[in-house]
Amino acid sequence: MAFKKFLYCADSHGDLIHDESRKKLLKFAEDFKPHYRIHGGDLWDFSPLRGGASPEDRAGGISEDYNAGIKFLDEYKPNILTLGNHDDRIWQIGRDNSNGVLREHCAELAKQSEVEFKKRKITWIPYVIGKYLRLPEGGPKFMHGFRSSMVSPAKLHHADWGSCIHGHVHKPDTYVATHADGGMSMSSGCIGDIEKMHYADRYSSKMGWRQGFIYGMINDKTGSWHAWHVIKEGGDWISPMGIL
Amino acid sequence: MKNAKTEKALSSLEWAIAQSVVPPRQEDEFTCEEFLRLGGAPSRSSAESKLKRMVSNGDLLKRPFCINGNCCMLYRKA
Repeated sequence: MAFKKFLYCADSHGDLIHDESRKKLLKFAEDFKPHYRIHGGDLWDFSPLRGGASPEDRAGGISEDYNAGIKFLDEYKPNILTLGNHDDRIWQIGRDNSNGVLREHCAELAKQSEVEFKKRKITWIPYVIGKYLRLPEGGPKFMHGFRSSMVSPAKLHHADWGSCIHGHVHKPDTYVATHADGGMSMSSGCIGDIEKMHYADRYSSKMGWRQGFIYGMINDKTGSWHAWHVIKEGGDWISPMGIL
Repeated sequence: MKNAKTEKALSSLEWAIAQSVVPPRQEDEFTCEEFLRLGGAPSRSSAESKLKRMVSNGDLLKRPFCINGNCCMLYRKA
């Protein structure tokens, strides 16, 4: 019997990445030496492509955002990527936007992004409900996340997907299933800079957001697993291993 | 490091986004909500149908617009 290690991060949001979180994660990866690295989506922010983006948003362009996302892929080197709702904007607009010029160019960038994933040998899935990825040993389902409630997001995702690890809500949360079969679900903190995500400045839910990521171990024979949060609380990065 | 095709796709999309910038709202433009508030119609549904009729008669021009992330129509005199 042997255990394999995995590391999960999500919501880096392109050029809105939190530099301190990025450094903590990369240093943790260097020391922990995970067998699997998972990025749970929202690799990019793509705010100029948001429905209702202001002229100011659009004027900002997407090059810096896109390049920062690719740079983070090259640093973190994930084996698995589950695209998020922000990433999905280029796929969605590329498929069904009424502006033909924008649609065509988004479709082309989406296609080239798939080439970039392939070049880096990343197994990825689009942001589609019901789609998820798993490690070869089994264990939790990995996905970006779909439910946005701040009240027990891990429990809500568990109700729909069973044992899973997801991002999307930026709020660390754990739900241990009260079920004969056991199970557990976890919502991850984010790698994107909470202070820079101004779109949520008026939502009380933002107060539950934390910088953070998740690491875990999986039994390569049985698929049983456990995982833990690393969270920045105040000025400290707290993990079950101690202060990082 | 991105490949050359990705670089090209990225700069083309930047151009397309710049082209798709919607002109700002003008002083003489109004929404259905504002039309209703100023007494243009007794209810939301009658304001909508009244504005629709005026657009089809050629009295008003309309265009889609987003206010605080919500999409709506802006109207102005033709």
